[in-house]
Amino acid sequence: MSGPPRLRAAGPDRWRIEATGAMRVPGILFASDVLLPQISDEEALDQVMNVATLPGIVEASYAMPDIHWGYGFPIGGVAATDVDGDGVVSPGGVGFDISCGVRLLLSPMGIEEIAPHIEALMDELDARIPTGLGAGAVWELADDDELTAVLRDGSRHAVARGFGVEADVARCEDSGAMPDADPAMVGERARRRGAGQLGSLGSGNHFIEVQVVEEIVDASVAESFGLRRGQVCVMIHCGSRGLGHQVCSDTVKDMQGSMRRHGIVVPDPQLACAPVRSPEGRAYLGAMAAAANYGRANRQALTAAVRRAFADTVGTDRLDLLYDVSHNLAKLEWHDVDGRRRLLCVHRKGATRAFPPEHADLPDDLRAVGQPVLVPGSMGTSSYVLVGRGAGDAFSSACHGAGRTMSRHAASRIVRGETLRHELEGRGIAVRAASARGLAEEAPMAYKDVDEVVATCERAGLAHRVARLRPVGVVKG
Amino acid sequence: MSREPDTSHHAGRGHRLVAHTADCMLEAWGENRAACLAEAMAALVEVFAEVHDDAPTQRVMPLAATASADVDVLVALLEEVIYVADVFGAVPVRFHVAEAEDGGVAGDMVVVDAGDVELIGPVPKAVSYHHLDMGEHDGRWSCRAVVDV
Repeated sequence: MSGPPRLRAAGPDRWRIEATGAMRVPGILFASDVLLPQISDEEALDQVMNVATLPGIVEASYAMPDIHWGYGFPIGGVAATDVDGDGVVSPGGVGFDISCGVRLLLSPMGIEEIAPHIEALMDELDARIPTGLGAGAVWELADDDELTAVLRDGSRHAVARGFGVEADVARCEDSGAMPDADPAMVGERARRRGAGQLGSLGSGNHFIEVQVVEEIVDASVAESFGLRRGQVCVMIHCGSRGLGHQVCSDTVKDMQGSMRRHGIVVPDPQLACAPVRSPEGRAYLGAMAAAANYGRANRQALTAAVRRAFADTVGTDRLDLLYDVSHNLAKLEWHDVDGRRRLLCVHRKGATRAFPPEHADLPDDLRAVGQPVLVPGSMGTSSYVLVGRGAGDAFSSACHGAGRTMSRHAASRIVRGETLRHELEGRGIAVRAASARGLAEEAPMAYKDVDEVVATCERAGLAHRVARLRPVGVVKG
Repeated sequence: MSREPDTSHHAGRGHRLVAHTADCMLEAWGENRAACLAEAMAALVEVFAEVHDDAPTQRVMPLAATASADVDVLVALLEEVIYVADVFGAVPVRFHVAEAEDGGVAGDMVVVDAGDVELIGPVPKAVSYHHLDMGEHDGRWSCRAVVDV
């Protein structure tokens, strides 16, 4: 499905691609005039159109403002299929890093209290957080049974084993563990890859940042979230490591084999899929939920390491979890489509769930306010806390980051890692990185402007800004 | 983008890394399928490690892929590089790939401990089927794969 897709203005920062050819629904792109030139010449829009061909897809194939070229699905894509209308689940619509996501921890301390200790704190984080290849993990699992418990119970099991407090569980999406996880559907290679990586950051765009609340945009919601100007917080961005990747790889192969039996044809092999109600669909959702639980336990184990680093350097390990939310996941959710309540399989690939106030799946103490939506910026730039609001367009979804404009390869050719490190340190950001090139590949110039991405989300009615966070230290995988 | 890797200006065997906004794309070529596969595996290692032959601790690990479509054989071998890195903290530095009698491939790879090579970038974690290609064109084999890092 090549050729320049035709975009038609369809509202504030909203563009429509009419359904043509095999597309079952239109494509809807959320983009400002500033972002549009960075998006419209990419293959990403072809991928939006390809996703629109999936069996059972309803409403539209959505693209968030941070969209960029992925494989199969675009990164920044949202698609929902009607479970009772032969709708499919596609592992490519979740992505390799199942339950890749973000959590934000809030310190009671202000930046003025942490600043004298920041270098010691970053050294301690660097020492305690395993990054890169062969670096080990925070949590050495006792045996295979314990891995099974992690796959079943996610961060609840991590907390039960001493890697956190009960309040952490309450503030984690799905209360720390997706129901219907089926550890038996996680293959042997995936289990072996996951056995030694629980509580590790990995590499790529994953990071732990010490941040300070720079600006409060919505004082009322910020107060409900426990955010105040000058406050120190810690953002953790990572996922389900090799285990999640292997689950995706294994399932894409299996589903390529089963699609013919289900009479399904897709325009890209990475869009391999199966009906949600089929044995293959159920097997994937069980394995995916198990991998997602591993991802939550991974972030929980890293949280424990971060708290110890704080205790050793700033004198208190108190870091309250504001929220933990995935941006690579497929979930069965009820939504109104064409005036009818329907059970949908909502794929969010590089997109964040953004439930509005009063949604039943929110924690009790956040229900009146809405779901925190955590949006990391590119390295060295602002990150944001948003809140789900309004009608919940795109099945209550928002952006997940700044979104790449440049390949890793191109970024590492233009920017030297050491130059970037000095530049960041010159701006008061302490950097601890596993490799210089890994640092260069994540240079801010390789990404869109997160301020513009977030503002676009707000103008399009996807989510509302609450606070802007500025980095003061980064541990880079 | 063309459906075939553009390796027309390269002779013999070799590999290169190509820009892809999501992650990293590799291209490899060779005089036969086995050579092309070995080059693709070398390209994958080049994404994250600077390889030196004189690393102190070396092991030989077997390689095998059963008979299937060429792209599936390519994926199987690339996934083996990812697997030994993830599970054993090992980095392959040399590859020997040969055609097997059953239509698959067999061989081995010399690996070193991750601590004995210079890690220069994020380690790939999966191979995508998006734009995946492998085949014989005008008597030369070439392939392309997008890998997730």
